[in-house]
Amino acid sequence: MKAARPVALAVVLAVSATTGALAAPDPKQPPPPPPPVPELPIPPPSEGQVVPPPNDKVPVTAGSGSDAAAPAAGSAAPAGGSDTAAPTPDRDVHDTTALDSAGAPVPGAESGRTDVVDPGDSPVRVAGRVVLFVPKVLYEALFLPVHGAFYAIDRYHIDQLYYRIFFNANHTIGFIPTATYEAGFGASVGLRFQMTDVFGDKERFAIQGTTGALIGDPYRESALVELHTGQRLGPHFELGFVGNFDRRPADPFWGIGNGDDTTTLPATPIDPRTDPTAVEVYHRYQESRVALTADVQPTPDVHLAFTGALTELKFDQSQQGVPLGQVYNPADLPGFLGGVQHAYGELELRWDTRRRSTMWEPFKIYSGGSLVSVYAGRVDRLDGGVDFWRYGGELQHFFRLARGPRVLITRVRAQGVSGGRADVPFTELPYLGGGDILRGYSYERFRDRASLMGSIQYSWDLSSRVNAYLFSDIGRVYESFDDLSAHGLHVSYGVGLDLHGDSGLVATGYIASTIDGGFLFTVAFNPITDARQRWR
Amino acid sequence: MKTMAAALLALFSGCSASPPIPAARFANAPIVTIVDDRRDVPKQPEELEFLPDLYLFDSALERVVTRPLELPRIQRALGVNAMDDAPDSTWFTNRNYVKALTPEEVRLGPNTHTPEQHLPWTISSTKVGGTTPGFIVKDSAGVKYQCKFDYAASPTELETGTHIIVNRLMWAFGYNVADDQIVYLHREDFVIGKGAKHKDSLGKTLGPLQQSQVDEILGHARIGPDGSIRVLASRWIEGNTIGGHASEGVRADDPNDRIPHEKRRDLRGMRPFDAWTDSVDVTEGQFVDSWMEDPAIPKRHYVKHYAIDFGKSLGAMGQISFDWWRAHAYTVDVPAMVKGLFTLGIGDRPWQKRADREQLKGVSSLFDVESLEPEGWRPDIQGYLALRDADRFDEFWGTKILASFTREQLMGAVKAAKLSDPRSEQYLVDTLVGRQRKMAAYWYARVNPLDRFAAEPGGTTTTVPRICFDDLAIKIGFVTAAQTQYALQAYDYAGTPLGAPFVVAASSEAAAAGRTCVMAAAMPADHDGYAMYRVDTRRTEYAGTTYVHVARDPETRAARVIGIWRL
Repeated sequence: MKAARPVALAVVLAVSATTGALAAPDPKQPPPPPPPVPELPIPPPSEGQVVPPPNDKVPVTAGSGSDAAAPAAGSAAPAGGSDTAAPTPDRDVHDTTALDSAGAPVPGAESGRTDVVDPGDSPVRVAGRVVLFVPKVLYEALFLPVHGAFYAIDRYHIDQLYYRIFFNANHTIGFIPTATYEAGFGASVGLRFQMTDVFGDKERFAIQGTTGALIGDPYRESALVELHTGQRLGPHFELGFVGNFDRRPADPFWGIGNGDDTTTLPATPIDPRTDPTAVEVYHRYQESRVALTADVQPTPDVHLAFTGALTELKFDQSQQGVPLGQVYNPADLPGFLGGVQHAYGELELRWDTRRRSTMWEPFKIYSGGSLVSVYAGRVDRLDGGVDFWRYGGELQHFFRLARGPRVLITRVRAQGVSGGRADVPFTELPYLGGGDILRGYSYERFRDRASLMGSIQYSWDLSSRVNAYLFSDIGRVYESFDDLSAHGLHVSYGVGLDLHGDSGLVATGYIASTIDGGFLFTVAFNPITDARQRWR
Repeated sequence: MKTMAAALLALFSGCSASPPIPAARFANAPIVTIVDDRRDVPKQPEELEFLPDLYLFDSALERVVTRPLELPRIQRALGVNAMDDAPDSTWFTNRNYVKALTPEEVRLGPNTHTPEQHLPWTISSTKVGGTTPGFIVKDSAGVKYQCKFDYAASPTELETGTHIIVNRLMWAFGYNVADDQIVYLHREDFVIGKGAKHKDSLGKTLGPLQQSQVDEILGHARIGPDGSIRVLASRWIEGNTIGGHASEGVRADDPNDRIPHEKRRDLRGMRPFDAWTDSVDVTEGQFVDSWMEDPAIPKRHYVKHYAIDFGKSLGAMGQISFDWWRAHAYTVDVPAMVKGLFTLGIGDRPWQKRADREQLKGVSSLFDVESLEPEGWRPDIQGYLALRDADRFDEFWGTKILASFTREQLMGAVKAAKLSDPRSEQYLVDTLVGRQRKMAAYWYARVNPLDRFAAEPGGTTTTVPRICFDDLAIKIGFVTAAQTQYALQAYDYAGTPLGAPFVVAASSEAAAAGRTCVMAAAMPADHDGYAMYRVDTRRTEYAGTTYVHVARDPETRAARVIGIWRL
């Protein structure tokens, strides 16, 4: 498995060498000259064919309406007289009738064959059908619910019925049921009310609630309200408000640092700040947050984004898996026992030229351009804890190798905090693992005061709706950027599929492994992690 | 062991030296050129509702698995007469291949009425179904039409023009199509009829139709500088429409529908037409059956089968949806995706270069000659089984018909679209001709391209006929007569050779018209002189065989071809 990455890279490089299709299409190219084609002769009637009866045998009656008396002109029109400016008079043409076919053989008796045309099924074929009947029925039964759903949608026009009931005529105001699933996070269902043109300038308002209670996970809940000014304040400036409440029953925690994972539980809870032992444990997570955002976009590629937020976090032992307190001492994890309240202000400068190169390639699948993003934010603790800075940056570049797009993507990402392990709430520490940051490792597998990762990915299209990708990620967390080294880097690699629709990603899934072994399969519908927004 | 190997070797070598005579034998009777599927069906068959999402799901994920589990017997097409042709029926009417149409006849197609001469048009309701708005109208002569427009948000003239061009070609090919045409009208040519209804796309009446609603719909239409509106007018199909035909099987309540649709030659043979015209939108929904009264015999009813809705052909589907995969893969094509996964997408894709072409008005930039793959062409959805089951004989049949169109005829079809840019017309004709030749080059190399067989008196005695035929590959100019030889071997009814085989060159007549006549071996005395002539076409890179069955007409005693069997 370790050899997969260099092989994949070699293949990727070969694409650019063999296709010669690196250049973007030039829409100003004139059309190619027409192919040199000799004229085709008009075939004469032949002896083996019977010419249909002449057109004047039977008068046209049904369907001719008041035109029955109109002068016939069609078949007598001169060849080549295609003067489209002048309408053609009504005409009378022969349509084959039952009189023409009277006395002719019925369908199936036209072959003239005297031998056995269809010998029927052989006993072996019949026996094979009997044997295969069971798997066929099982397959049909497997898809019966989907089959039934499509039938209902089409037969009763449920989609149109839905829009008629839950949306206004312009589809700018409406209710949307939501269903979310992501491996490791479980599933939830909910309802979203949204307005996409509140006052006529693309102002957006939405309020949404989801719950896992309907599928046996009552602690999983979320609520969201958001308002954005759209074009109201002009094309270069947008204000936004976001308020959210989320709680999840089982977020994973693996300790702090790059420790190798183990399933052996310590005899007594350990201090994760000093002991790198990594055991997969779970905790409850609750977040209440309100945020104001401002996005200044002086040019289409440059964003200056400000975020100011008030956040409250609460933690508790999970009812699922190994609870955190069984391995790690909660008192050693800043914020776990008393919760966290803080105010946060962040400024991000982003230069983003990532685009699809042509309208022929899927929406939101970038095939060229770069992303340069740097940000810094100050966390002011309102709970008496130590204030600290968060900062980071990300570089991405998309090399378009060929149409499709077939594209090579490189990425470097770094994050850090200024406070010590004893000061920064453990969920605020930069992390790697899951989502699209160090794929192949579990979600938030590594966390510490600093993180650094790089990635290389080759993506290619399998159809107009599906693209595949091979990737390799490398990275690790550090206690400090002063400790940066290539020692102990985590490497993962894998292959994934993206399914996308007209307006963006619909689902994504990948299977990945790491130099530490094992496989991780991840699938997400409506991915809930925000990392993809930066990546994509 | 050695004995067994020797026996097998002898068996196989024997097979290769003297292939068995095909079992097909034909009645000594005239060729059937029309079938009687116009017998009375007094009760209207049930409507078959097309469910597009379910159809896609079934086609792409369910039936594609369950059908192979049924071990279907893939066989040659049915609904074929002794000359390997589809006879006339309620499905198909032999037109251009048996009697060349004039370019003007192609331009007019099925048109019998000119609604723009019968103004104003009275709106009875808004259009039902589909994704684009329109009207149901009657012209002043009382003829009913459905109107769609050249919408401002769509590529100019593309869908309307494409629809009409393919409508004309499909009609000239032999299928039944609606009487559709492009007309240019003005706003004042539309008046709201008494009791006109405003309906939604599901057919639910929302209230009386108001002028403001008419104006709103017309507001979506592209208005010319002179205020004219380009209208695609589709004449209401006669009779009561009962939905399309099922992809598989027959319509159980139509006693005239006797041949499973997936086995019909005229439907399987549509595949080369669809590839030629890049008609990727082939589903059960692209057809409509009508239970209608016979034009000549009152109160006799039967079902007639129409092809409809061609606006997504000629590359338009891909152009409108910006999808350059169209025609090269099914919309959901699991095997192709698996292949792409394991090949990492490596390799040139010339069909994606189509998008670089400048888009002429009314023409999709995806419609070209270079990217056409005669056998690899794919419709959007794999569910229409006649296309999936089509074999090389069906492909050959369809190809010989589409190859019969001349440049002038094709221009006639294109002219019907009333495109505003002459360059577009010329490009479409050039491309249709180029694709036509590509299709012919491919399929004429996979089936012995001899056709229009006839037997003529061979001289002083009626026992020695001349076998005449067209070599379509010579006729279209792919090869010359000088490059071609034919080997003939005669057999009697039982398959016993009559005389020695002999080889003849294509006649000098062939150089001009592709037609060759060969003096054959004497016909036997028994079975009305039933003789089978094996005709092998020999060219440098091609060899193919057709058996021509000849017998004496019991009345005239003249030799006549009573059937052919292609290998």
